[in-house]
Amino acid sequence: MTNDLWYNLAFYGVSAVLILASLLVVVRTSIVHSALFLVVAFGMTAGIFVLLHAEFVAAVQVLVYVGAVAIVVLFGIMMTHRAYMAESNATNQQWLWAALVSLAFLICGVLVVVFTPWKTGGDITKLDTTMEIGKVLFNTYALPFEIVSVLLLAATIGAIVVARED
Amino acid sequence: MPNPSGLPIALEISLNHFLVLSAILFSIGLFGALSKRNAVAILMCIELMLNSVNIALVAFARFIPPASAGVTGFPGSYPALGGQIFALFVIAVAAAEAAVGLGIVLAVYRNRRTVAADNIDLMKW
Repeated sequence: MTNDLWYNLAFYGVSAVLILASLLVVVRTSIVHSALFLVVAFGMTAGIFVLLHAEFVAAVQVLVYVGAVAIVVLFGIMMTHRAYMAESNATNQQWLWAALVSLAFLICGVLVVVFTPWKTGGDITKLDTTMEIGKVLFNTYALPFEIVSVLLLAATIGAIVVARED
Repeated sequence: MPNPSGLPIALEISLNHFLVLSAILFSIGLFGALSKRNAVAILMCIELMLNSVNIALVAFARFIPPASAGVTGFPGSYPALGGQIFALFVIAVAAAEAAVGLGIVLAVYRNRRTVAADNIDLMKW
């Protein structure tokens, strides 16, 4: 399955669009353009999840990131930028150092990935991953699941309290 | 590994491809988070970084199930999908972070009339 020609083409195509969209998020000087390319990057990430046989995670990615987080970010932009949009996403004076640090991180990360002897194996492609996630989530990971729900409640209340007009 | 399509083995998409993709995206997000002036843009770049970590987690779930990594005695019906479960938790935490972060940005904007991170320097040394 993983050495199918169409699989390879899909992987490289989706990856190219994903990296390009992420770069445009960072280099565009208008923050509205950045937010729209962020939506593209999130959608392409869902495609990567589908290629990894994680259909449920891909659906959650589309619902939460493309559907909710992107909208929240756009609302944040609308409420904090009144008239000026050009040059609303400029870089600061330390961009050169930031580029060096990021490049060093990239080199280190790629070296670690290449030189680690991963114990790959096993096959989840025959598995109905959505059903299995449901089983595992409510058996093994039931307690973390409940804690995450409490975290979301706390974050919702906190966001309202912080952003509310007094 | 069987190679039914006849492609060279070097062209096979393996775990390394996904991890390198994840590293590239994380570096892009890191550069943005360090170099942007706008607080909303910094939040967007943090979302990019969390996104790239999710790719790595789901790739681990796909290519390294615990049975092959030597993890035994793990409770639960089929524990091979821990990476995907973790990705779901990361998505939930990222959504919470986006909501609270943008709430803070809105509060700062109301008080200071700016979202440029350079100008929010009240506690700077």
